[in-house]
Amino acid sequence: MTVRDPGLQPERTSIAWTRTCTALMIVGLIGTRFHAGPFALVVTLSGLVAAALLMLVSARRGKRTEHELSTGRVTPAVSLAAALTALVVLLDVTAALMIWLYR
Amino acid sequence: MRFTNRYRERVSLDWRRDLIAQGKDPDPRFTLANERTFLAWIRTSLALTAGGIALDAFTGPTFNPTIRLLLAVSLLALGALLAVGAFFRWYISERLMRTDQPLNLPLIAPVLAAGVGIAGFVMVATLISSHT
Repeated sequence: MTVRDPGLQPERTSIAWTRTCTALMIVGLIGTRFHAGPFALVVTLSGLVAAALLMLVSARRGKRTEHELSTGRVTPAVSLAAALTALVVLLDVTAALMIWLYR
Repeated sequence: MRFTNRYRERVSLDWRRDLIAQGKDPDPRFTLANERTFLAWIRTSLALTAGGIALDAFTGPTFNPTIRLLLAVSLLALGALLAVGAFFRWYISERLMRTDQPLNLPLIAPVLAAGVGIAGFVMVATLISSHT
């Protein structure tokens, strides 16, 4: 059974993940556009690969959320959020090293 | 055996279980709204990352190399700080919702405002001094 939430919460959450993944991709591409060297490669690859992976995982979670909403209990995405945070920190550290060491 | 169990309980890194163990499930819409707020903060942090990289790539000879490096790295550091802050804010908000308590004001908001404000001020000051 699917419950229609008039606030469209699952859909909004799902596209918020998509927006975030797009932003990740852009950061990755900016890395390869303006810099070279190993750190730029890490920025680009981790940005693109993570964006693709998170897109898949969050899409799966989105489907589950639609279902969970009918039970009135949505599990908070702790591991997804932690993974995304760790990734962003990794990107920032690598980008800083890239700028610092390969100018 | 007992010691192991107690030890594991105390240093439990299973955040998900720890979170769900407390209080009662909030309205699922609030859980989702909290998640979207976290994602908005992450995107803000990513914008700072892109800003840091772009600042280094675009400003060229306008900025003195040391100031340019310092500004770019500061933006990146601010981005990382915001990402970590956003995670903790999300986690703490979820816990407060489960135990039916009022939410905290976002500490990362003034950090973002101050960071971007200072960076902007330094950029304008550098720009003006390089043109006079």
